[in-house]
Amino acid sequence: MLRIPLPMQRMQLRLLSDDAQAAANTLAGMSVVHLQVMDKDELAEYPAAEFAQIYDRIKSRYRKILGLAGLPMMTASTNLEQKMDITLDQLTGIDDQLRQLWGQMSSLEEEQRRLKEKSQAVKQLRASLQRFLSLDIQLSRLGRKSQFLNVIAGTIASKNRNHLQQALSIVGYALTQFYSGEGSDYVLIVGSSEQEEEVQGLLKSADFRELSLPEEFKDEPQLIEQQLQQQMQDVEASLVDNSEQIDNLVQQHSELITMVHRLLPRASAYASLSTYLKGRGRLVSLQGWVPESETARIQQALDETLDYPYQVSFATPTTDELEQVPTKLKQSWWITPFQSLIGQYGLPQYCEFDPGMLFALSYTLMFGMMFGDVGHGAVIITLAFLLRNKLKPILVVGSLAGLSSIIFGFLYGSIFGYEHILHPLWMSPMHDPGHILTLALYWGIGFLILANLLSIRNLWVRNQRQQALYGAHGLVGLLFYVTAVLSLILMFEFEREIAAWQYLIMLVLMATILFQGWQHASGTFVERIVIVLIEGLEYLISNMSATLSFLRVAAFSLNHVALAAAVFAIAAMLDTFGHWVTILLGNVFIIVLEGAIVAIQCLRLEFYEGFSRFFSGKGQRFRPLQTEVY
Amino acid sequence: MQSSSSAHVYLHTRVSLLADRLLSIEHLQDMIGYDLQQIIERIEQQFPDQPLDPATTSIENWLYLRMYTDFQMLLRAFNGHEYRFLKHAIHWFELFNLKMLIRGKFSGVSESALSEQLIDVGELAELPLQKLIQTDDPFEMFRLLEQTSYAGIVRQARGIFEEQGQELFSLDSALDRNFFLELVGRAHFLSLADRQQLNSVFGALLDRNNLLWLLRYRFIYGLSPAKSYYLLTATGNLLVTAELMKLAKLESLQSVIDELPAKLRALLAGQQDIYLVEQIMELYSLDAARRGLKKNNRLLTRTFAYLLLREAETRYLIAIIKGKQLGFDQDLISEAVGGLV
Repeated sequence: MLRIPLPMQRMQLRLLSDDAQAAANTLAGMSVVHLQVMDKDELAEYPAAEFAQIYDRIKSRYRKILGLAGLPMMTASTNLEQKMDITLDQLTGIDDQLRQLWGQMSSLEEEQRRLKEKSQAVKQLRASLQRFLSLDIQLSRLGRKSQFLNVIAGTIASKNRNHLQQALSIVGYALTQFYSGEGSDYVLIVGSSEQEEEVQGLLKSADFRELSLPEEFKDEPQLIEQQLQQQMQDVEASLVDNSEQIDNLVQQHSELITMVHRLLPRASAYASLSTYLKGRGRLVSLQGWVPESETARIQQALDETLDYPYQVSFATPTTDELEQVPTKLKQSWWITPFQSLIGQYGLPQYCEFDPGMLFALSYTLMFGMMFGDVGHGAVIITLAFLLRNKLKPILVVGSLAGLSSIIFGFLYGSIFGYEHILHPLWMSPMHDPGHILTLALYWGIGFLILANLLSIRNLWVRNQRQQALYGAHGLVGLLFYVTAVLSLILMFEFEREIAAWQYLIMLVLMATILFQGWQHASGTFVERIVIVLIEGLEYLISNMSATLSFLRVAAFSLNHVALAAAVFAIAAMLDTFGHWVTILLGNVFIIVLEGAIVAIQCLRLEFYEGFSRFFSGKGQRFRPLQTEVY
Repeated sequence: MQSSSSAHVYLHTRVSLLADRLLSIEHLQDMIGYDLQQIIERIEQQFPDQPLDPATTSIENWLYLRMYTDFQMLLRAFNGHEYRFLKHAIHWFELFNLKMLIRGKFSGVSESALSEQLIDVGELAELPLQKLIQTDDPFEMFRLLEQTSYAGIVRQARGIFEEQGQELFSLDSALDRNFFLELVGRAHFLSLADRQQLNSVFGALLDRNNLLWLLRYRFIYGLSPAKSYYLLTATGNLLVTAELMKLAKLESLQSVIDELPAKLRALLAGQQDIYLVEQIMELYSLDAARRGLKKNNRLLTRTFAYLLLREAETRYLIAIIKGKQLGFDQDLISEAVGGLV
């Protein structure tokens, strides 16, 4: 039932630099190597670094060119049949050509921006025409040089207006706002011409946008409107022309663009090795993690592709290396959708058990126990089916949860809250709440024991043997928990007193756990005592609360019946129409609200009471070297 | 507000723990006498969980990374207006990158050289740094910047570039000004209690900045009083609007010091060198932050004060390490770490 992630081998590949690109493309084509930076530094050079740098530049410019031309990113063929290597000179040559092309296109884009800005300015001027007409000043003076008076009209960001006004007051200038909108203020600035130069410098720093008004503004507003319209048309014509120039440029260089389009996928794998491929002279080396099942295929592929002698070795990861090994899960189709929920907690480390199946089964089971109802389960399955395109994992997760609800619905004899239509195959939770609560408690105990066993296994594999044997989540911890639970069961279920030897066993086990904590604690003698005692107390409380936490499994199954009973009680007080509307809305309420709460509670039990005991979630995902697709 | 009182207590404790690890100026001065390895060991003692791995990162980036990791950890515990305020405060560091980037592009620095100079701010980054580095010319960079939260300064930057970069410092000041105005704007949404306590730390920082820039504009760059005043940021504790307008009109460093409010005048009396004034004001604002961290009970103020102190510590440590690497004289390194005052 419980699996570990796919077994991995450390691959070390040593070859001649002449074969490096071919090796990169071969490995990328197979998607089987998770690269790792080499920890030994006997090879000090990075032969692919310069190549990668130029490759990145080409990729960036290629994307910018396509973006400006409005062309979609074309899907390149990943067929790497063309075996010939791409040389650094070739790449540099293409980079130069693209730089020149992008240089021209960038100028056109800048021109486009200027034209758009101009278009915006003309629009703004047209919009402000009326605003200027409403001003009680001689408009022809605006923008005209005068011997004594300097009058400037323009706009400034509203948030800067006060500050500018204060700064202008230092040179004896006045500022008046005559319109405000869209974060900008339209202002008139008036002062002595003597300080004009100083004021211009200030306005430039303030990002003040002067509105230049034509001479005729005062006398013939219609004429101005015509002129502005003409300006707009000219700008629009220039924009069209600019767009055509961009298209023409792209067309003229279509051969280059196509070449880059074909070249990028071929170069991507080798470029990805920039920090991984190390070398000295012609000898280069590369290392990474590969699935154990792929080693023979890798060897064969390299044999077929590489022209020069090479050396490849595969090794099982040592205990020290376990944390570096990436995790590749092998899961059935029905567990994979649950992975998105598990992923909220993390990914298992390579050496850890993959909790996928345990999670999927226990989650489904607990959901059914807490939300057992044939009708509600059927609705959940229907909803999961309807929402399958919007939320992919929901079809499987929802269907299994719904199915579990249906099964428990039959066991409880509940359909849409009615307890008398179906005969319970087992019993209704309300029939004997005490029994249901006891069962939930046993379920929790079983769940926690399993979690503890997994913790022991994981600690053991990680070479934390002392923790695995004597730690709170190790064997001694488990024995203490089992002894304590058995003693309590004997006491409460069978009314037998706890014997002295049982106390003694628990005492010895607890002392072992505390001693283990003592060995790992740091600080002064008193600090260590405090730490150990608090940790011991925390261990006792957390185990007790975790066990009791599973009572919620029973509590929610009771809650489900109680909610339905409340809906029926309200419905019984109403007429026929009101009765059925209440039943309908009540069921919707139960499915949506209680269903969501139960789903979250199940997740909480899994994460806090289960995962936190054995699952670090610190695994790193297996990300194979792949050919980039554009 | 924090989501719960326990989170509040946790964060207070966190800030206190981190604050305890801060190095004093005296301690930093002592470290100038250490060799490089001893300095690194001393820093590693502070944060044993984040040791330096020279194979993967430079010392400088390691220091920044440690700083950002701690900032992120503190930031996560806030929400609402407090979060928005602190998040913007942390973006101060991204501003360094932007300034460096603009200067680099203006002077045609290569992509790789530029990449080496920029600080990796990790998850806190708002700028599409990689794309900006890969731009082929300043105009392309401006077009890209227009799509970011820094769009407001692009027009000015474009103007400066077209005029052959005559006033690059004014672009720096425009960036600083935008940053502080936004921060002051965000501070307005904080609770009254937070604003009142924050003022002691934030106000001192604004006073320091305003005085420094005023002196630079007037007596180093020779700007007019009006322009100098305009380029200043929002007002702080002691240097309010009327005060700054009056100071901007003065013609010498001495007359500015003579006209300062009593507290600052006493601090700067007799100083004739703007660089020394800068150092004194830096220590003045750091003292305010240190007091804010110790004596305040508002979490926001304590966190903000910690950010300022930690940034200064990181800056000083980098100055020491770089000084050591370049073989500078100890006195010279000491100057960079507040050793002149």
